[in-house]
Amino acid sequence: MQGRRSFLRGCGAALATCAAPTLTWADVGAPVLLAAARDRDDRFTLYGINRQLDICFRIPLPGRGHAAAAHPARPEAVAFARRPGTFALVIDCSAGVVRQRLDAPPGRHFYGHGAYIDDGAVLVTTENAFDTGKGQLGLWDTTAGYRRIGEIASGGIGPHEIVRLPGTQTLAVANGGIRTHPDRAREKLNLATMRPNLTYVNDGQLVAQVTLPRDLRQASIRHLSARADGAVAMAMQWQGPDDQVVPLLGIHRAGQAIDLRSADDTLQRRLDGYAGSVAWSGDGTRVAITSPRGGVAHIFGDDPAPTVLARSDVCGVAAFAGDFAFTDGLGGMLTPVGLRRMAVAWDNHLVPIV
Amino acid sequence: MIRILVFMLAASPAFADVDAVIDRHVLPRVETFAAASGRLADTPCEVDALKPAFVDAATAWAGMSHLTLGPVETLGRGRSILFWPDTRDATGRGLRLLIGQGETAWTPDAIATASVAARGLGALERLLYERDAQPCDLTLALTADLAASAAAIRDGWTSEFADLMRTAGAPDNTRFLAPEEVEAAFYTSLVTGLEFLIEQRLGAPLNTYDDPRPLRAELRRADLSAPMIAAQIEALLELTRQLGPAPDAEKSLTDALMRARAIDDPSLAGVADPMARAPIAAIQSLLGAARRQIESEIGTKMGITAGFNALDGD
Repeated sequence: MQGRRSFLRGCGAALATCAAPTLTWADVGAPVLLAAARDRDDRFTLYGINRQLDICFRIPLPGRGHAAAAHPARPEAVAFARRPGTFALVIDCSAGVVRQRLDAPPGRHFYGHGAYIDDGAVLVTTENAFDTGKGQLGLWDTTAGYRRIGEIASGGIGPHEIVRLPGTQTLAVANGGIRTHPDRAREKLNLATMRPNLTYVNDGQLVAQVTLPRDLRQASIRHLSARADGAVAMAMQWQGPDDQVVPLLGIHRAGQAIDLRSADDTLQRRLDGYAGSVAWSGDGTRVAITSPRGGVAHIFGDDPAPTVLARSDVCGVAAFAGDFAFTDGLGGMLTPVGLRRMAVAWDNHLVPIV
Repeated sequence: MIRILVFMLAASPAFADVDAVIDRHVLPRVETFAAASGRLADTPCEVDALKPAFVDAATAWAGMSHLTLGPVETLGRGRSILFWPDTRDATGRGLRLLIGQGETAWTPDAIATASVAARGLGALERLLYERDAQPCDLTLALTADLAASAAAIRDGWTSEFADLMRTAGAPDNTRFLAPEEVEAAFYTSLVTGLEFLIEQRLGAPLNTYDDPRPLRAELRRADLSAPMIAAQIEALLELTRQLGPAPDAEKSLTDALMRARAIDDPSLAGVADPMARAPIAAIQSLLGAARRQIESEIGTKMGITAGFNALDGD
């Protein structure tokens, strides 16, 4: 009896962690990548993949998502519905089940990305307050069943990917600049006046913001990758005239202007004005953007010109070992430890577990 | 290229004969375009001699324009061979700019760095059919530039890309991890080629019944709009036969080809006339049927997932 009481007292402070033993990613096979895919029979699945490219788990999803966010410690992920989705799913990667559904508050929809801060205590989601068009960041308390605990301005219109700068509580947000309304599908309502930006947020405050040069104001900043030293790589999607060839990769370091990287016009044109994902290499020496439309990835290092990787429908990219992993719609997974091909179509994003 | 050690899952048996598609479809067509462009570049600056050579080069391009995979995309040549559709008249503006720049801009080297809209078949059409091939230096620079692109595409196929396809699944081949990826690439060429025919080559001038756009027809000044369509249908029928069997699609394409050849309105000006429009619209409908038949007769057997990410756009 005494034993049971003290057990209950001990649990009072942290009921959630007592209810089940505290698991880590190591307990589910130490995956380093999360990737969603469509099977041949049109079902969607979330895969966990380890350093040897073995599949640690596969968890059925109710439909096609956009991206996922991996909890930094617990084997837990949040998968977002495709834009303009109004729900996200909290997935328990040890039990292999969807544990909870997060609904966007009235008047908001998700943009498909999120990031954890405070050692995973808080999930931050990019959202559209669609009646005003204002970008918002939703805050969810993961220690209290993902209770919504507030929201802050994203600093622009159309916030898409959000990443935490390693070793800090600072978030970088890609405000794509494109206003949409769920009643009008993915129709872009403000292409003539759009002004995307990269915004840094810390402790609820906008702490810095940078924009692209004026002639690139129709380059929608969508996807981000942060390096250990805080350098942020951003991938753009061009909304301007299609005979114009523009840079689709920018690198930003605090206090500096955005460093634009581009191939020569001939190679650059092949990207079709569209970069779908971006990632720093594991060793931080290179940065890659993917263009599924062009079937090509450009990898930039010290040389001004990129190395080109030709791969149909390539889109997912993430740091892997010291290098990159790429995934594509043909089921290919290209990594420094091997090439894999599965009978699936890998979805847009490859999410590193860090 | 990223450093990659190799591990391959066993590939399932191939459905189509990749070698046959390369040897009997791709290589002859890229060679035909290179040869026709070469003859155009060898033609002196006489408009009566240039026009038939131009027609041969343009229709040879229509016969391989669906082969955007490989060298055409690697070299970024597609748009510089024919900048069309061109709803903003970028070709007209680019060409006026080039003419205004004077003879220093009228060399193949200068052309190679000019706006893609002012290069290739579209710019040549304006010069031959609206300006009597004047200035000659510009005309000759453009034909030389086109021939260089066509030769680079042919060489890219024969020296590298064909082998990359034939060695799908080989240890260092990141482009094609398995033979079925080559099939999928050809299937994608077939379907995107058909869609280009339906939506652009036919769809741009047809537009809607109430709002036809005859001035949007491809290479209409040269009376090539209908011949380009026929040339592409012929090429896609050939590819369908090699990726098939696809009897229903072959029948639709054969019918569409017959009708396209029978059109007595090479610039498709008739899209604005209800009577003349009907046979043109009928070709579009047949191609729409072929598109669906190809999906069911070829695509489902291949388990195709092409464009999963490319078409998502987020």
